[in-house]
Amino acid sequence: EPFSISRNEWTTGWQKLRITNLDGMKKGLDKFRRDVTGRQEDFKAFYNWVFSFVKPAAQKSMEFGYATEYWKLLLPDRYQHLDAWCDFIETKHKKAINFDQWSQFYEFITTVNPDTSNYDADGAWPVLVDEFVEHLRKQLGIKAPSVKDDEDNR
Amino acid sequence: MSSNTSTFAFSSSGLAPDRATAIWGALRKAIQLVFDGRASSLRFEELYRSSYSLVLHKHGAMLYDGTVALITEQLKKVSRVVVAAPKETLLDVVVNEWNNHKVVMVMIRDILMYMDKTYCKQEKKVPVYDMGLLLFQNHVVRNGSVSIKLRSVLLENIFNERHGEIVDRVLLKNCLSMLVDVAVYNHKVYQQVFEEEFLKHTRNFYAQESQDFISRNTVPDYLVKVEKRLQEEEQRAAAYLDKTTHAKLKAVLHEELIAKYAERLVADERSGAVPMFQADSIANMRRMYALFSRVPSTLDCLRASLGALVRETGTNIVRDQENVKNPTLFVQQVLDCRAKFHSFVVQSFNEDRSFARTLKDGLEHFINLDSRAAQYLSLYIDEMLKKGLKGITEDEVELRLGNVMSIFRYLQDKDVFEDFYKQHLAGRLLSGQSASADVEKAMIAKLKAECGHQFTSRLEGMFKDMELSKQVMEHFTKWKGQLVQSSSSTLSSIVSTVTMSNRDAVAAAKATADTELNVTVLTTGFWPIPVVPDCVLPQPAEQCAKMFADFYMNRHSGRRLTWQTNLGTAELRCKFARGRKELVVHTYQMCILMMYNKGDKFTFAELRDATNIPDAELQRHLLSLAHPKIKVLRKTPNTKSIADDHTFAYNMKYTSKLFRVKIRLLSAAAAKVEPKKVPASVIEARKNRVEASIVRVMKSRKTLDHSNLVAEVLKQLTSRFTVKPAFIKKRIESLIEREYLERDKDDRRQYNYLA
Repeated sequence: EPFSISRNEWTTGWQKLRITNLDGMKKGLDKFRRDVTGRQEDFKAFYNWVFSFVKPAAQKSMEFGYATEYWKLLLPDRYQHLDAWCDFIETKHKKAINFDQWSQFYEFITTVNPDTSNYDADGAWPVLVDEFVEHLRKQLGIKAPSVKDDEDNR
Repeated sequence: MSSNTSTFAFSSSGLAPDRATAIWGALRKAIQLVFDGRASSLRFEELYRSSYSLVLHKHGAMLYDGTVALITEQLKKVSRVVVAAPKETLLDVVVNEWNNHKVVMVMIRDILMYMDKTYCKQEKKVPVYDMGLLLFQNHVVRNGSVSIKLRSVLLENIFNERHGEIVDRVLLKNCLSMLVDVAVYNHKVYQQVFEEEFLKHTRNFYAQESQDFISRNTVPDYLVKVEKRLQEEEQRAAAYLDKTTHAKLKAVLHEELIAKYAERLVADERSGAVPMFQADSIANMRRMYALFSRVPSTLDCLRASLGALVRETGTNIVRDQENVKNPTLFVQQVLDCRAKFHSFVVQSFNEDRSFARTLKDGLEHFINLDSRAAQYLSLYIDEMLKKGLKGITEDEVELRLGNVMSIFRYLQDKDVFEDFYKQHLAGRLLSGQSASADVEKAMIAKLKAECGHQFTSRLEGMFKDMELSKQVMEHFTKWKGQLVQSSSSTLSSIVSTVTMSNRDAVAAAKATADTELNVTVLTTGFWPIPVVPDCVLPQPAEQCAKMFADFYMNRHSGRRLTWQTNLGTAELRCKFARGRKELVVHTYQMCILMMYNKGDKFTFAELRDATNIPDAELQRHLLSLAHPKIKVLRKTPNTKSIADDHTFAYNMKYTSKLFRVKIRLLSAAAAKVEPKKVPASVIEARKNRVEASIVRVMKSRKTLDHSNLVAEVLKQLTSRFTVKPAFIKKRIESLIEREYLERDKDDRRQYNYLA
């Protein structure tokens, strides 16, 4: 069940961290927050874990409504166009988000420039990301760097 | 000194200076005689020995220099003659003197041969003969105005000859040879005195002539003239120009006659490439190609013109509204277009590969402009097979099938064609409308040869089904007949293999003895059949159906039979006031009409509930029966639209001229294929094929990066259909989600196969 922790998970978890009282918990949570938002690899691991935590166990994807909420929670200072992304997901895409899309989005915001100038169209990005880039460019009035003549009109 | 005296000295101590001078003096006189043409009185042997002696005793320099001086003297006289000669005779005079000089030089060389071989070699002096020629060059040819005059006369001759006058070619040849020979080691004199100016002259001449001609004449006429001129120039070059000039001359001619005007010739609106193509001017085009081939770069604009015209012609065919309505016309026009340009490729362009490819690309372009082509091609065959093949010879049929295949090859979405062909074939087979099973099979054989057996396996399956069904029906009819006529003793053996009880079987058989059933069994994978909900069949039909089903299931226990009630026909014997009629109707209509055994009038809702026929179909079939022209049923209210409470009554007053009436069905508002889109069923099939291909590639490579994976898949599928890389990407994503593949942890552009 999402958003719930079993008693066992609760007690075992704190035990493992050797925390036994409320004060400890406060400090522990602070430390945890610092750890997880510190180095990139740690944050990435945490970010990816969030997906499996939020989505229903039996399914492979999470509802896009949840996805956008969590993105807004996790990534506000990490991506300049986060609002445009969430808006795109909610108004244009409107489909469940799978893990590949979730994890690749993080790769996207950490490797591609905000103005998409170094975006590689052949870069094995999920179609969702390709579509977002196109959408974003239109919104910001950016032209795609090199226009390859594509005669395939079908 | 007397010529009889032999002057010979052996003295090993050398030759005394005055002796040497004396010998030289004698030689000098002899040479002078040679110059004067009185060499016959000389004795060669003596002279040879004299020169030999001089050289031997180290007087080679005196001999050599002296000889040079002598020749020079002589040539000065010659040049005075040449300078004085008027233009009309200049060439003659020059050639004459030249020939003379050569003869003289040969003799002198012979006399002084020993000097050549020893002194000249040692002192690296130019041998006597060559020296003689060089002296001629310096003192005669390069003398003041001689070379200029020479040039002028030569060019004038050529100019005149170009205007059709006859000139003395031998004389010209000799003169030009002289210019070559006179430089001995290179072609400098020839080039400077003649060739450079000649080429300039030629260029100007043709620049002028071409411009004039082209502005007043058609393109074909210009081409003829160019061909002629080129021939003439080639002859001239062979006749008297030095070999080294040939290539340079050609270059100038090609430039001025062809390269300069190529684009203009092709583009000319009134008589250029396009008019030539349109008027089927094979010969003119052949000439153009032959000429342009001399300057290969000019072929580009010709080729481009072909490509553009093919595309334009083709696009017009595709957009033509008449063709939209008439598939056969469309296909015929495409065939004609192809044939027309193909004959140019063969007869005018010498089967040039690049032109053949341009034609192919052009055809491919417009044939694939929208998916109509695939549909129309299938309809073309459909019409041909439905209309019947009376009066068409076997050869003609073979030709038509061949034509179809030739267009088929240009289709990029062959699977769209397959989809349509399947539908049309199913229609023909099920309604018995195919004129010839042989021709059907021939067509399939051709498709198989082109695309492999996978492409045609389902089509062949459809044929098999038809044949098997016939056999099954034979057995069934026999079996049923036996049941009907059976007595109890023979019963068990017949019925033992059937699931029904003996008595039931016989009873059913007898009850349905009046009902003839004809079944065609279709294998699901082969036929393009939609899934339909079961409708309620009227009793006799239901009984028959059950009988058959039992019979069939007994023989093929693992299978499942589903009645396709959306297909099939029934013949009903109906009672009307004016007599009985036999109505040939669709299965659904049978269900509807049989209701009227139980009552005279029913509402739409009642009919729907009783028969369970899908709404849209029920409406269509009811309206066909209630149609004003048909009126087997009467509809109240008499409108085209149907509501639940509208009623349909059996029309006892129905009449018809015929006893056996075929009730025509209103055509379904079938989901028309939008011309630009690929049918949904085909897209679904493509998704599967792409995924299968991705898995195949990944299974063998284990790990592969994105671009290469897409490229591999495209390569595998290109003979069947083309899809965009984005389509493939979506399938990759789907496969990742279903855990057939994963992204590599270290390189996000790499995929790994998950076993």
